[in-house]
Amino acid sequence: MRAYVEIAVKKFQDKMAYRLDFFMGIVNTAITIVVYLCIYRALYGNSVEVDGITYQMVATNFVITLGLSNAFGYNEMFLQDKVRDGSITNELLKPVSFIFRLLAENVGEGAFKLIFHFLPALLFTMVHTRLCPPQSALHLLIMFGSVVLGYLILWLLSFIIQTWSFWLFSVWGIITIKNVLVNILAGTLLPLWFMPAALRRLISYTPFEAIYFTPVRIYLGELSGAQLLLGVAVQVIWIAVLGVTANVFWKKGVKKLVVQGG
Amino acid sequence: MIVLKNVCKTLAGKEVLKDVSFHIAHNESVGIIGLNGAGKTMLLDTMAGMIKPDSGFIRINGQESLIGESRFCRDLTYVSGTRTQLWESVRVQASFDSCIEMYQTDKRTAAARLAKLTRIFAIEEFLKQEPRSLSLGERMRCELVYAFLPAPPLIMLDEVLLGLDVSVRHKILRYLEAYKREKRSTILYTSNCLSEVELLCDRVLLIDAGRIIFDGNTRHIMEIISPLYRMEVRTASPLPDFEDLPLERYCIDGERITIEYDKQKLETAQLLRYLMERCEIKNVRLFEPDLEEAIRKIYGGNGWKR
Repeated sequence: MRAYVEIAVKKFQDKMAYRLDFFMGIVNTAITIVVYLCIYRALYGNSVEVDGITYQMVATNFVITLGLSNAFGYNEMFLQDKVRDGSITNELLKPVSFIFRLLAENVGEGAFKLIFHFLPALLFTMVHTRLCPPQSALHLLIMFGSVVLGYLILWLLSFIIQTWSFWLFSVWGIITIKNVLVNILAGTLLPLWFMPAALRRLISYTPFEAIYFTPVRIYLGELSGAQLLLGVAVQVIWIAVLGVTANVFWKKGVKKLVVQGG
Repeated sequence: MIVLKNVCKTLAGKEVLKDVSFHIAHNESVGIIGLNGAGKTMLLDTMAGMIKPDSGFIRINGQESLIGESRFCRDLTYVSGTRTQLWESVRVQASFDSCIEMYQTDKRTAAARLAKLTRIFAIEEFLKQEPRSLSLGERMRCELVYAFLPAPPLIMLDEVLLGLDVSVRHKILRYLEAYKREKRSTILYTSNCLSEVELLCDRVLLIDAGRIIFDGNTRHIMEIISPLYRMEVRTASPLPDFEDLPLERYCIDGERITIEYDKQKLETAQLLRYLMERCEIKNVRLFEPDLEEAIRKIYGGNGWKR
């Protein structure tokens, strides 16, 4: 366990070394959020609410989903590059689980971006736009936990596709398709409130809703009591399902690698 | 410690390991020698679990060779010129810290050992650098420190001296020799240089075309393959009289003398001392018996029986 913590901390410190990246990250996150807020401000015009959703709720949704999705990005070509140049065996010889070691590294990067990219961008946004306050301190706290679960779902989706590098020459295209799907179905492009009812229903059966939208709804108090528990339970179930799948693909990939001789 | 039974592997239609079987005891140091492409690296890779044999049985410290399994990987370190154990794009020190964590080495023991290794391999100034800014020799020294730091039950060294300069080679050889004497780990050492193996290993596996063609103690193989060393000397003064030395043969051509001697009967140092006392030497070249010749001898005759 300590080895993984150390890997995460190491990545965190590594990111701190690049000052330009640090400032550009803040600017990048802030611009993305502001652009979306401007678009939706214009769309709302003078109306107070659309379909029972206020502009303030939309703004809050975008600050959370865009801020998180910016922070949760990392090099998704990592495994493919390692498999292609054969250095995957260097990784496999290390006495740590590769899955947890990669997760630790990405979490280290994510934590850095949350603190140094998202927080400043959030403060900047709060200067000019009024956001909804959390439903309660407890909701805020549960939302933090739900964000972590959401991250794991997103990470596992990416990892599963990354493991296909063992069979495919390039997974870049599939990763791109996945990212488009996440943008559309997880609500970083259009808040899921505005999706047609049928599509919304469909999305609720996919892991995408559980990535950003569940935390947003917990924050706003849309999910409370039994519904909140259900939302979190769905997240946990997705993590279990995707985790098992990821492990199966990973094990099969390594097996293929050793049979064919590195 | 290591058991291989009838291990076979065919890759891309080529038999790279043919019915390989041997046992290696705890803390034995074994040299694996063979020509390029004989299957030395393939054998180590297979033991490390990087390659799954088509048939046969492998146990390392009682465990099946499975790459990616922490419990198995913790039992060994594997240094090779073509791979790196260090983390890229972080300081070398961070790789060592992480190594200590991953191998679950006792903190205090590890710190003391790291201090000692840092001194012996003179890598103090590299600790703050990233691996990519190091030269081949500098990086290899760091790789070796990484391998010895956790002192795992098995240390595999694949051609670690390749391309290194004389002083670095010397430094590394001296450390390896001392470590071997302490008998703390099983060491597998591949090389195509007989003199390194003679210095570092108690036992030799000679591999050719994926087959073990000799397995026995180092002195034994040195006796079989070529007792004859050749020394070429250029002198500036008249030649001494060799009569009281047990030479096999010598040939004088102007100021150049070629001497063939049996190392079992006459030590190189002894011969040199003798020469230096009696004449002024301009230049000395020493030819060790080479591996190709050795393999030919083991097969018997000149033919290649494969």
